[in-house]
Amino acid sequence: MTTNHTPVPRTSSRPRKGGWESQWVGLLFVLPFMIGLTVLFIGPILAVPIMSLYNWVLPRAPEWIGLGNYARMGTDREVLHSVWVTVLFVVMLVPTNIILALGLALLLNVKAKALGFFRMALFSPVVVPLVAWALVWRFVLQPDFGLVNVLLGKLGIQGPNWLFEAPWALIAVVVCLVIEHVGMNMLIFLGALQNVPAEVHEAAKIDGANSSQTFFKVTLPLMSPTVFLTVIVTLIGALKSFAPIYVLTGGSDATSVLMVQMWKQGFKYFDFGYASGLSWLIFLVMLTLTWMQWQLRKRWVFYES
Amino acid sequence: MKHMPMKHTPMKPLHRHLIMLALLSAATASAQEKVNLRFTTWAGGDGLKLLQTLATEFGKKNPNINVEVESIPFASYDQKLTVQMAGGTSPDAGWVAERSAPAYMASKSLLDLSGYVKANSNMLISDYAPASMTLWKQGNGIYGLPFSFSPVFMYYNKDLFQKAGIPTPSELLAQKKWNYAAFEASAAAIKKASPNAYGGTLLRLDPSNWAAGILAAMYSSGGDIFNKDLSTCQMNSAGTVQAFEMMQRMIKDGSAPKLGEQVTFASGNLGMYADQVSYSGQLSTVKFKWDIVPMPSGPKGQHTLLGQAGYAVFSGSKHPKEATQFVAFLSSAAIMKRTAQFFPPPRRSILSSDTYLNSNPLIPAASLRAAVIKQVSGARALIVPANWAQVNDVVVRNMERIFRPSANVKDELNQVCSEINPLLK
Repeated sequence: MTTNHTPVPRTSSRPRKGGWESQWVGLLFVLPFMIGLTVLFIGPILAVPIMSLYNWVLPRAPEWIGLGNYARMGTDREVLHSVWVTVLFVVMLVPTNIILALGLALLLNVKAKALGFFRMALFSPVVVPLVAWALVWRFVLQPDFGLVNVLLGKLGIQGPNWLFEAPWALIAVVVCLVIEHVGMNMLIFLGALQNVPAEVHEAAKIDGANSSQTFFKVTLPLMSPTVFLTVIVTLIGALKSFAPIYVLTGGSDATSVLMVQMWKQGFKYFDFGYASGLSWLIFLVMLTLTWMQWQLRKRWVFYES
Repeated sequence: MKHMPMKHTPMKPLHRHLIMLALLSAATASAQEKVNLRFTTWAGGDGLKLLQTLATEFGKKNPNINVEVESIPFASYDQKLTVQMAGGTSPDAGWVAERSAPAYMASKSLLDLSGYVKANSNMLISDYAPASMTLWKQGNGIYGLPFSFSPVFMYYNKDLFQKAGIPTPSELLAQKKWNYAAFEASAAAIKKASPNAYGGTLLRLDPSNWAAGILAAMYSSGGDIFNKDLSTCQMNSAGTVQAFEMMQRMIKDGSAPKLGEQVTFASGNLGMYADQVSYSGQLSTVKFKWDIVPMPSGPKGQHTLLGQAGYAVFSGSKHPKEATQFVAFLSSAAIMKRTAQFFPPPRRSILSSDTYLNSNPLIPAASLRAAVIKQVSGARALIVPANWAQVNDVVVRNMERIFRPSANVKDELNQVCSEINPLLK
């Protein structure tokens, strides 16, 4: 991946003249999308905080309960459990993904034959639809006749029931998601790595730095803005994970992260008020974590240019 | 860049067109006076085709009514229906599954049909097996008319039994030896003879549907999910514990598939499997030989679960009169004879008829008589509280712990009850 710093010349296709008529035509073209966006996206987002103040179990009519839904969360064992599972999930997923992506990017950043193949192989899971990916894994991780346990059996190891046994289910979900997503982060890191100027590395070598010193003291700081970006994006992605978890384990106890809990309350128990409250909780968690990252970035992100 | 203020004038013609269009369509609607009904079902394939044919026939008899049959997959059926009801776009009538009926009745989403049923003697409500109506009656009201009265029975793979060289469940039944001990022993024998297959299971591929198979074993050893008035959890009662312990043993010794093992009876790798008549539809192209028998008997006799589904008119309907008419048409004896091919009919006059026994091309009449008709009398409908979704979820969430080889099933089920009881208050 090469980066080009010369500005791309803009072809001025925008009509300078024509006034409001042409603007109307343009607006008409985007209108279908705008209507969809407003009705299906912005509207519901604005409705959620209001809905969270009601006791609204479909199909009954909503009843105002103020902050009742939020008070309920504090004592709801299922929700508290989900908070804990979410913490475990994020703590396992994000560092694994980032470290692995960085490691793979370093490995693939040398000039050698057949590297294109490895890059493609590692990136290809990214383009597989998540649900299809999860469905395949559900078969691979079957307890008796799944590929993983059959292979383990050949080595004389009896594998666990990956998707159902308590500690393994969450680990299996994390592994499955890391393999799906690591290619994306790897590619971003690869771009960042190739952006580190060769002179800097040369200077470090002349100063007598060994390869690990070069990496930790020179390369990593120079690509820290990229690491920062990927950490935030991966973190938000992790908190948003729903479909693969649902397909893999049906949202069992061991893997019932907050997103799964919210879905369950909303679309299984039809408790729309409570589910709205939970979605606010998830939003606040995301906001807080991102804000914390943003504050911390001054400590570890290196901006020069 | 200078921004032009948004003028409203260009919108005006469009606006006018829209209003005219709306007026025009309203005018045509009132001129025809045709009532359009939406009828929802989770049927697919031939079952759906039959319903559509019936809707067309009804339309010919009642030229002022047009019925649109809409199929929604079972997994999302209640979700879609509930959201539509809340959004004011409720269908007029449709199928309701037994496990969802109490929730709909509690939220007053179903219309009371008793007035119509009593006023029309040709409804012949006395023809319905009494057990088929318990779920749909509340006080003096009738909130649905069952069309399916489907006991759970046992499918078995003849080839796997032959390979194991053991008597088949049909043979055991003839010798009056078809009980849960025999079920367990046969499963172990099959596993021993065919290591790549499983002997049998009472569970379903979808853990959230656990009750469908194992309830029969619970009933037959005196267990249940709730007590009679649904006020206490009985999941830790001796009978229930026995049934779950049997499945734990079978999973442990490998004769039953573990949770999450993607094996189906139709694949030919499962010796015995508990399901209903409708499952036979998936067996039309299988390569192995199979048959059906009633569920085994247990220490407290032979009981099974009676799956039910009914036709209901939704209270959100804008045409309750016409919707009721359509539901009555579907429930009439003449029509139920035709739907019986897919769903064992709750009308006794049809259930016991030869036409019914010969209606399923895949299952011989003798088997159908033994597994369906004879079982009906001892079968129980599952009556659940309105918040069944939450209660069921407690069991599903604990399932892995209950069936762990080292688990003390009784302790785990005590835990399940301690979580379910507060939900029943």
